[in-house]
Amino acid sequence: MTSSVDLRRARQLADDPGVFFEGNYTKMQSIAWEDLSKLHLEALKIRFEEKRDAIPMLEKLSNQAKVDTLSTIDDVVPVLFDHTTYKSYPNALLDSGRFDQLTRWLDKLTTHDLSDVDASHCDNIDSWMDALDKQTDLKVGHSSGSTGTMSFLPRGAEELDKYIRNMKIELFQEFGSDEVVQDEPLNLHVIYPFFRHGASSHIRALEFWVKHFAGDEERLHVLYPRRMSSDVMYLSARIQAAAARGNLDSVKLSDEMRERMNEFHKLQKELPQLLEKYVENELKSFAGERVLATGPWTINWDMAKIGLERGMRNMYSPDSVVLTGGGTKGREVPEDWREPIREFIGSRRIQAMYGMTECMGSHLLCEHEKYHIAPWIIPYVLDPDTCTPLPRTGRVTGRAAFFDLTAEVLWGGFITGDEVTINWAANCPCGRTSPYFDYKIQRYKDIKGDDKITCAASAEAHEEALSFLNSFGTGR
Amino acid sequence: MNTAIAPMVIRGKIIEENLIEFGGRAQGFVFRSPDPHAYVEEIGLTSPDALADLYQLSFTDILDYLEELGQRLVLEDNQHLQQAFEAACATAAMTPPLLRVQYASIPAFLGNRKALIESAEQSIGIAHLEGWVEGSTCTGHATRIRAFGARTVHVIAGNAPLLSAMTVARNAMLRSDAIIKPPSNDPLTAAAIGRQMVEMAPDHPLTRHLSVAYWKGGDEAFESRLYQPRNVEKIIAWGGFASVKHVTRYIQPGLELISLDPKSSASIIGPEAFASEETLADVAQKVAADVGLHNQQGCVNARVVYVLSGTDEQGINQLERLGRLVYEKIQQLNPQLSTVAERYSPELKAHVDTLKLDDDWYSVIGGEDKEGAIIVSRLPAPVDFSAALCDRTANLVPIDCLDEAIAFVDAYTQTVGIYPEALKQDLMDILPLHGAQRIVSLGYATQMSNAAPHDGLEPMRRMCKWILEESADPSTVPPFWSTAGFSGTI
Repeated sequence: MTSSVDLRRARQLADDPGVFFEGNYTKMQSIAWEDLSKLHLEALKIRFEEKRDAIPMLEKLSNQAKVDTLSTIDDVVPVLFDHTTYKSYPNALLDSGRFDQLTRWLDKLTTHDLSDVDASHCDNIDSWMDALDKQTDLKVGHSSGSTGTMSFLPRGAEELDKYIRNMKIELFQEFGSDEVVQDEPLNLHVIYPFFRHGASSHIRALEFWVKHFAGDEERLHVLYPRRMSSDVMYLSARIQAAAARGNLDSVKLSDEMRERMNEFHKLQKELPQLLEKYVENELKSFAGERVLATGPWTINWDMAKIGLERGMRNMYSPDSVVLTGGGTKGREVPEDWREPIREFIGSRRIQAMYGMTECMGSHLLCEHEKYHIAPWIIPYVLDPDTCTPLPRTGRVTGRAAFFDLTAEVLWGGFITGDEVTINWAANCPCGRTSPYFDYKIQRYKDIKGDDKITCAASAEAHEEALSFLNSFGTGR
Repeated sequence: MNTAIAPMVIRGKIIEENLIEFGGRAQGFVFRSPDPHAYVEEIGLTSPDALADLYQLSFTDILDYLEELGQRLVLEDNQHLQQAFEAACATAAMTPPLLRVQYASIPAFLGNRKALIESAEQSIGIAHLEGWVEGSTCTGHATRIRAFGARTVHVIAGNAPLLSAMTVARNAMLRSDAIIKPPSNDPLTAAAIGRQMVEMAPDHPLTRHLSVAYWKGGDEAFESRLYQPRNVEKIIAWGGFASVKHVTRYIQPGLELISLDPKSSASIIGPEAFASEETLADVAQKVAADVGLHNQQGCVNARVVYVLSGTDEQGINQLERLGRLVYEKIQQLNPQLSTVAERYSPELKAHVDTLKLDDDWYSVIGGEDKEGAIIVSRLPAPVDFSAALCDRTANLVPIDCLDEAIAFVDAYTQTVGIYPEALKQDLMDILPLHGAQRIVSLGYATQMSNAAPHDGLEPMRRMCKWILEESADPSTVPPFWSTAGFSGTI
């Protein structure tokens, strides 16, 4: 029997973990795992009850899997969404500009009712995103589309707001400190070497970076002040895929799109010079201040190199934070990649994390190189072939899956393509009480088939060809 | 536990020392093989005239050798082949019953003189292999042309173990020197055959010109030493982007690449399929064969099936009916040639399961467990993950006109199965321009002859060196050094 106190606490954990943990990172990572697990189960039940019939695809999946109620933490596994779900629309709809139909598809993935959305006038992804922004409360974010398909993830402003507020607690407190994060912004300078506007998932969160970190748009320092066109991202990958297949004619471009593609290519070509200017002018202008620098390690590394070549060292206040990580994007990660960045920024904290846009929580890497699970995210490790849950004890390797309790407008359950090793014993010498992942995390599609050769073209072969083509023209 | 040993075979010598471990979890199998780095100098054949001994043999001698070799490669009697079979069961995507049929076919393949003669005759001409073939040109030259063997490396694919036997047979018929590099999904078959050759006839020139060595594809330290014109003249590389890509960096004058790229196949079906119930059942049987035989592990297997059913409601209903029949027929295929998958691709399963959540665009027939599935599209476009279709899972796509199918034929397309025959006339001159390389009667995609072009080229022809001898004298060819010979143009 669950007491009403537990239920209230479980709901609070799901609705606002920042409040639940009283704005303190030490509390987030000190709660006994056994206690937290009980709250997880109760919160999970609440979420399932709320969303089961409110998200059409979840309803269908629950019916197919015959899951009506949850009594254990593993009961939810058959109704977790696979990572392909958010790109399960036919590409032909995007290619032929059927945004009314795409809206219908998206409607099945969110609690929001999109049946009144008029997308009939939309003729590209950008205009579709605008229409959704205008006519709904959603902030739909999309993936980079670099594999030729783009996923679309519905998000609500409120949940993104909490996500970034939680990040503020995680990033700017040391473990062990009794600091409490206030609602006021940190008023630090944010180094964001990317576009200011656009609909990709990470740009979507940017307004809350301003709200919680920068405090003012003036302290947000982007590389490109303009909007990143979603269509350009999508089409770039489509064109490269078609070119690899010798089938370039299959991608039809309007004059407007051709123009935008050309602009983008120009921008890409100018990236090295632009980055130099950004470092020399923009980044110099707030030397000595506290900063939060982010972006993939590659661009941070490039910026650091440029800065160091110009004698720019320890540029900012030592309590600055660098939040970086991300894929290798075809570049070999040098062993000491953190060093030039640390030297350039002058920050004590280069924070790596494991996270994904489908989950609004960052699993931060501790000083013992372990990723600690954010307490509002329920981790699962599944058998990679059957997706059945593996035991929640000891050290287990398998496919990572998560349930994000803070997800409001979409279903929080999500199966990744990542192989992880989890340590359920939660005994990291750093003192945090959460289970943790080992540093080595890899995508299943990268480990499979090493030196296996077949005459049949596989999805991997297509992707390899694509990433090979992508490796040209990546700037420096 | 004893791990399997893949011996290295170097021109009549079996090496089982200096063993190091290969494979692993990702490959599904661990085996030990001699450290390739210790033997790299021996593996390469630096003296080109060492090939001369092969020219003591007649084509008939070669066929005799292959036939006898085949007789010694009976799975039940040959423990090395049995070991290779077990390794393939652990690493290959085909299931054990299908692999067993592959291994059981090796003796017949090597002993099929008619087929071997046909393949050499069709793509090269046995006379060109046996000696100089005389001819003449309009310039007045008398010519003699001969197809010589070459020093080669074969980076073979592992999805069908018969490829090892085929490579051995081709190398013998071409009087070439081959170094076979097996893949990790069939690590032992080529070595088992090579070992048998040594045991059968250690000093025979054909045995002395076959080597089998495993190294991990892309091992730069090893490959940069082996892939040099002093060791190798031609590299024949099958499959995977990565396997071909590593090789390309070594290509230079004197070292040629014959690339048999990874391909996928499709079918195009006319409206005649719906003429009667009987016809529909017949077409379904044929589609089932093209999709399901060998568990869809070959490049020849159909993955996307375009059907001129129309895209209106009636068309889609018809297509779904065809889909259900195809699904049933796949389940009924001969279990020696098609079975339920042992490990259905989890990535594909995730895609198929996701499509089941949204019936606006697709309907999914089957896909309950590992038995395969038919995905019926409602739009005239294949699923976005069509490259991942395997394990007896196909996508039926409705179209209103042929152009909609042709648009999806590209450089990755190999075979296109067509129904009815008359439709071929409309397509056979246009599909090759888009990339298709083999156009077949529906139902016969997996039944092919080796005496035919493959992947848009004639591999055997390419594997030879075509040598020309020209004779001329002033009475037949007026020389350029004389006034009569040079008229101002050449």
